[in-house]
Amino acid sequence: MTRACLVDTTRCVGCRGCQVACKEWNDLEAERTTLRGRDGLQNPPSVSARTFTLVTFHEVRDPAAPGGLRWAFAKRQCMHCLDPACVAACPVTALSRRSDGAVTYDSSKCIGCRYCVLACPFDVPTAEWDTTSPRIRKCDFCASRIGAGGALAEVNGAEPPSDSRERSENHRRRPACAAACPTGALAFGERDDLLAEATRRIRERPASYVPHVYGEREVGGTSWLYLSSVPFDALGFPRGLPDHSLPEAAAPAMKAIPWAVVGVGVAVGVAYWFAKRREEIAARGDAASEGGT
Amino acid sequence: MHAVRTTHEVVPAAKSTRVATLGWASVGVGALAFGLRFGRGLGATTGLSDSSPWGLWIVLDLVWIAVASGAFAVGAGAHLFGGERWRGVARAAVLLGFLSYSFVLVTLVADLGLPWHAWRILVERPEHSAMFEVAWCVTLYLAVLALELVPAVVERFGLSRIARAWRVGTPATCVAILALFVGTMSGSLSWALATAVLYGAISWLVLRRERSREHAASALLAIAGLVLSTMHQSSLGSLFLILPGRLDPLWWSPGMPVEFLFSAVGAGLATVVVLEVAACRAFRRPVDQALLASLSRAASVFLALWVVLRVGSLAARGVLASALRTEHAALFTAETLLATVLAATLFLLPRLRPRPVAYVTGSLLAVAGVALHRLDTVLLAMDRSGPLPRTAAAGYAPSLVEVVSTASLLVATVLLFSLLARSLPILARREATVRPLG
Repeated sequence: MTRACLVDTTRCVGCRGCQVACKEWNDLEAERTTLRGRDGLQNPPSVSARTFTLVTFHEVRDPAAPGGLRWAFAKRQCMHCLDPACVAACPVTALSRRSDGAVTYDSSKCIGCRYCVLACPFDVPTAEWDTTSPRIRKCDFCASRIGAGGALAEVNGAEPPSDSRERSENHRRRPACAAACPTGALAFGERDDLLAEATRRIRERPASYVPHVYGEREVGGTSWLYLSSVPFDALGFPRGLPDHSLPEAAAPAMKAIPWAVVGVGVAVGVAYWFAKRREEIAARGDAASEGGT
Repeated sequence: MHAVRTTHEVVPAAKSTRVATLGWASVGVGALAFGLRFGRGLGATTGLSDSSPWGLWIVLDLVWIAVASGAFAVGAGAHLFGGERWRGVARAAVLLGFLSYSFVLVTLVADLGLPWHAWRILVERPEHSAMFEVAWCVTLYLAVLALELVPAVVERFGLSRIARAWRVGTPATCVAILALFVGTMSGSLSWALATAVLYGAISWLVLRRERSREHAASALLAIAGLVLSTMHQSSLGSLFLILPGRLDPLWWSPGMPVEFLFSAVGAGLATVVVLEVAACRAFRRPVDQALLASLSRAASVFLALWVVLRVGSLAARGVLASALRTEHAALFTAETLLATVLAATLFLLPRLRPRPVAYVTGSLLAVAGVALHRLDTVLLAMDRSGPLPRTAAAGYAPSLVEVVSTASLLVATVLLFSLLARSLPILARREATVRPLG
């Protein structure tokens, strides 16, 4: 039931058609940026309120490549974790995870506390700092596309030709980025199927891949899965992430609340009772010593 | 020793108005700063960004809530555990707490991006959000603080009907508040009922043991305050449990809830020491030296426990040695030293002549240590490498609007405290036989 997207970075040529498609589908404005030499043609330097996905450029050493260096690209965006920290953090359920895996955002609920910005281990959510009603912004897995039904009802005001029906369905039901990718680096489908596909690719061409599917187990697993020919931290992926989800670390403290309230009550009740007894005994002692001869 | 009945008095009005005028002027400037923040938005008026989504205002809130914990700590000591001497400063601590929590909420409203959606917290039910719990707990606790101030208002204005309603209605109100809190957090009616039954039984016990309904009401409010404060002080620590990768290992710990609670109580009691001396100086009253000693001792116990817990947690997880080699080890050392100076000062004191200034200095250092801890947790020990892919970090420095609004709220607290102490019976009557300040 969980949809996922497999990013095979060895097939990515860095065309950034995915970035453009994302901007078009989500109606995002362009940003005024400057190229930074160390990032190659990566642009903008990071995700923001107007950039949900970003192809990061990395120089890697490769003796087979001319000059001993080549590019490796990594398309980055919200990972749509299976047990997201942002969803657990949000105090008003503005961020929530759909059953198909898309982690979506409801700006009508958001209070703008930015706890999600801190909680995300991949530093994905960003805020609209230049407005007076700043929403949180991030990739939503094209929730309105992948959840939508069927083909287009009409094309240019007329009924679509019969041969375009299937193509249209396939196109519409994938995220805009996956639909735009010309090399097949982005494969959208069921998570289990994509994990099997990733494992198959590693097995069939072990020289081309690092034997690890990033996102399979990191922070409890994510919907966006990655294959790479170089170690993942060379592509800027966070390292040292635990295999358990982050909310799992925080949940015990929250589950303990009713017990704590009861426990503190019992402790206070007992301590109070003893304190009062001590007071009474002291008062009776005073009265006896005053009254006596 | 007899139990001495504590009575309260209204401080006489101040003769000089120059300082007050300056104070109100700065509050006015602060209001302008708030106006700017709402007129032009957070991005334009603060130094906040995707690299540093939390800044001065959140640090202020955390420090202020810790410092205001004196209200519940002194209240619990005074009304529940036989600390008659602490009754002398209980109302003042509660007033400071009420003003502090009110202004914390004001700061929060300024910091939230979409504060007009705040009512959503009342109707949505996230599963395990620490921030959800903090919001509910702080709001309910503010209601408890307001109820704790009713006796002072009633005494001053002779509102016998309100006094009666307060005496009669407080026990049930306390039980209801706690049951509502547990019910909302757990989403379970059974838990709410269990809480109601337990605290109903405690109310019955208190009503039987206290010498008057008024004392019983105060005791029950102290219990409600103790429970709610324990919960939200520790939940402020729970906020950071979900960030193990982002917070430096010297600060992140699975025991953060308890560490935050103990450091808060220590800072709160130390603040009451400073409050007592400051109020006595400002209102020309004799200082109760034994009270200072008693509060300081209690504060130093909690601060020592805090340090032991933190170091113990690091050692138990086997990360103490490696963590001390990280770049922020100096900050950790500074926090620990500041927090323990109070304890050290007091243990040395029998050799020195006890003076209020020693207690005040030790207390200010202790509060500084806890404040530094909150600053480090939110900013300095937090990884602020920027949004994905963490290669474009923006620095953070508080803007003029942030600084001015913060300063004006602090000034407003002092002004309002002074104003209310001069209109309501907040400070305890002091006998002339107590050694005067000198």
